[in-house]
Amino acid sequence: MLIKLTGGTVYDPMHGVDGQVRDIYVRDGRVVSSPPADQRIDEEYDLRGKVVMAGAIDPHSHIGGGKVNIARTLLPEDHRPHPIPRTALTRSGTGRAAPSSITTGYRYAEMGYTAVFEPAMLPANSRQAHMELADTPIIDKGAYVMLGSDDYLLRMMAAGKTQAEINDYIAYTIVAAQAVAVKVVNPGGISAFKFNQRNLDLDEKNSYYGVTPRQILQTLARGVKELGIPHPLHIHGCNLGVPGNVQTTLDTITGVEGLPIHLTHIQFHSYGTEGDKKFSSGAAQIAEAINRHKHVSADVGQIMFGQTVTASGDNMAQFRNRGFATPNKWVCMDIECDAGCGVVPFRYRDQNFVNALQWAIGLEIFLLVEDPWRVFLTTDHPNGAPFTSYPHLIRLLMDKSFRDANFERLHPEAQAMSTLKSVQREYSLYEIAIMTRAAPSRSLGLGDRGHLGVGAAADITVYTPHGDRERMFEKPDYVFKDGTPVARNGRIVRVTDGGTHTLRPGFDKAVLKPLRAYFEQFHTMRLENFCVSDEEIVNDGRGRIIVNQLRAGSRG
Amino acid sequence: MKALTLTLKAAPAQRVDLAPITPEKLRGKKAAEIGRIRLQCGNRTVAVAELFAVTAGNCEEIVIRRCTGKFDNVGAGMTCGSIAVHGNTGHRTGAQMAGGTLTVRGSTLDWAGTGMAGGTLVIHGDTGRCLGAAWPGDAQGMRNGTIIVCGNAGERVGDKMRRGAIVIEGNAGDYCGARMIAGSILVCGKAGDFIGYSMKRGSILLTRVPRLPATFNDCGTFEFGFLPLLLRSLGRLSHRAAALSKRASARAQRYAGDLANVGKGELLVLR
Repeated sequence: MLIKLTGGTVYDPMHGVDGQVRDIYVRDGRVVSSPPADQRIDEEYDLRGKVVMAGAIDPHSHIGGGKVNIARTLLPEDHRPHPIPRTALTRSGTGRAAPSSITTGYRYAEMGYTAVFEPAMLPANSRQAHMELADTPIIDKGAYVMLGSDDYLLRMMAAGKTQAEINDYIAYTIVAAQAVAVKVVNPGGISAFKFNQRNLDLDEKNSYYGVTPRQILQTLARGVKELGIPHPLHIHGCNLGVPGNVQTTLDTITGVEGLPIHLTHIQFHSYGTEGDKKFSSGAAQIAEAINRHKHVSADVGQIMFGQTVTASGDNMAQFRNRGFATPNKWVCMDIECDAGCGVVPFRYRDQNFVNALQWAIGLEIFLLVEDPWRVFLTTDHPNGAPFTSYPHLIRLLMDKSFRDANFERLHPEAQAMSTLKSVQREYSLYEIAIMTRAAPSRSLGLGDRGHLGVGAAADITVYTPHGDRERMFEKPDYVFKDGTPVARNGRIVRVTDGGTHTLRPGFDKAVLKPLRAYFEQFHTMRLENFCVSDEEIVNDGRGRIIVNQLRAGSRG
Repeated sequence: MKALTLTLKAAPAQRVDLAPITPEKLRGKKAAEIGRIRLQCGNRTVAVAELFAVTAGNCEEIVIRRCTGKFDNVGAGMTCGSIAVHGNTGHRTGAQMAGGTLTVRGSTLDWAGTGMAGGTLVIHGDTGRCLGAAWPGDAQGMRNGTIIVCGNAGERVGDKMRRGAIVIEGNAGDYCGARMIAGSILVCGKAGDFIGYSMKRGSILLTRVPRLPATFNDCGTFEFGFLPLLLRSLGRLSHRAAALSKRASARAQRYAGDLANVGKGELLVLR
């Protein structure tokens, strides 16, 4: 079947297309070159005056895995007032901050997102994470496997194993957990928490293993690079949320010896200690460092005001924040000695000095980082805000007067501590297309996603341009997933099943022998049961495995 | 002005959610408007007028006649005024109510007064399980107000109750006052097993010694100055409490517990 999308204004940064009027042809879920004139067009969409982009990609959103389920269980308050009835097409669900997996898929697709990545999948939780992702319809999924506080890696490092042996372990874990990237959360800190350390600086030793976060970051970043994993090491650094952590973050940037890294929800890692309240913005220093160091990319983790729930593997930070829990209940736990988990419900308020400044810091980073290819649009859903606030965030970035109007409602002392109002920059549609499509696709090595060139997967979103960018991005006119129209005017019209992005780095089978012994001695399951098989994800055709290419020049 | 009266025409086949019928939600509405309110009935909705004959009257004072156990959420969330029900009610009668008076001249099913925050709930017949208890997922059950049950109550009376008073004139089932955080429960008849299971604080008043859990300690018999005051105030709503206030001395046998939890709760057996 041949579909023609006629006369839309196309933004496709991967190919340098900045607002050119073009026809796009789609055949069997792929973008194809224009067919001969006598070819019959089966379906035509008149997109004159509309904005056409590839489907958006969210590189960091907690939509599956143990902690999201714990957040759901913890917060009946999030579900009871927000029931979502079933329709003839869609199934019922509940929730806003931590919505049902099914609802998550619908909401993302309605907003024009066609791929979302769960950034913190514990190896031991990977089966459950993939089952939840399988229950997230329409969009493509993928997950980053969490390493760095797992006992096995720390044992290897403490025992002085070689980088090659550690690389085998990383590669094996990626394959076994069906992951698409590697994430590290509070490197070594989650483990240190269990040995009663309540803070862990970049060069502080884990009291049991004697390994420092800096060593872990270097080891994992080098492993990721040598294995040819497209996405650089996804780092949730030390000292999340601690005033003064801007120095830790700057040290992290310079401390990885030029290895490519991605700093996630960097807003939470950009706090200084100036001012009367000993809390200030480190956004300028962070943005300057990102601008200077080309090996670094970041996503922001913008906060928005209102009720949400923070769910993180970083039990050290979450334990520190437990006093802020609103409503007053929280969970911190260990998970299978792989890592930990902390869930603390939160309400960000614009009349709270710290929250207001957090909001401003996030926007400052967005606006001061010059290269949109290296800063991605996220709210670290649900930690900063639910993902449904993205259209609002896009308007804040694209509309200075709107931004200033919101800024003026903040806590007055927070206003005085921020330079946000002096920043003139407004994002263009082209830059938004970079940071929500092309850049995440390139960073994750998704190949045929995030662009509209010939051969690309036909994940396409069509918007009606509107002065109010929030309205424009809230309800796209059309969303196509693999060439199938799935949403129309912000309503689901067809429910499909997306694929799961994975990688297949090679590893030496010798890694299995000591690992099996370790599993036999310490784990609750056998090594063979730990691996998530392809069949489990394919699930009789409901799911699909997408194996992405490793970066050229790597072994494996 | 006489009361607004809803008289059931024919018993519904499916369960009906009656939460939209409370004084504050009906305030200022005419009888015809009330008749058009949609009620969830099984998997569809029906108009009030399809189920009830509506007689116009003061919306602060609602009378529901010929009610049956098919009607859930009767008086749920009410904050003022009164609702008098002639007949039985279903689940969650007076759930989350914060004020006003709800009287059921019949029996209710489970979860009556769950999450109640104020007001008075009087049940002339029996009630099911989880009276004044915490709805699953909630940290607290009844948070304030008074519940009087003239008949018997099922299991888990006042589960995770935080404040307020419950009077059971008849018998209470097992796990009475389980996980209680604070508040008072008076059981005039017999109480079942596992009374006060894992209670933190709060008082459970009894007229006879129940089968005591192993984690309650006998503290002896004392004079309690608050007892006559409490019984007299409850006596305004309950005949049995009034009778006890006349008869009972201020003395009671005290059992402290649950020592497996905080242990500041007490079972007081009136002497």
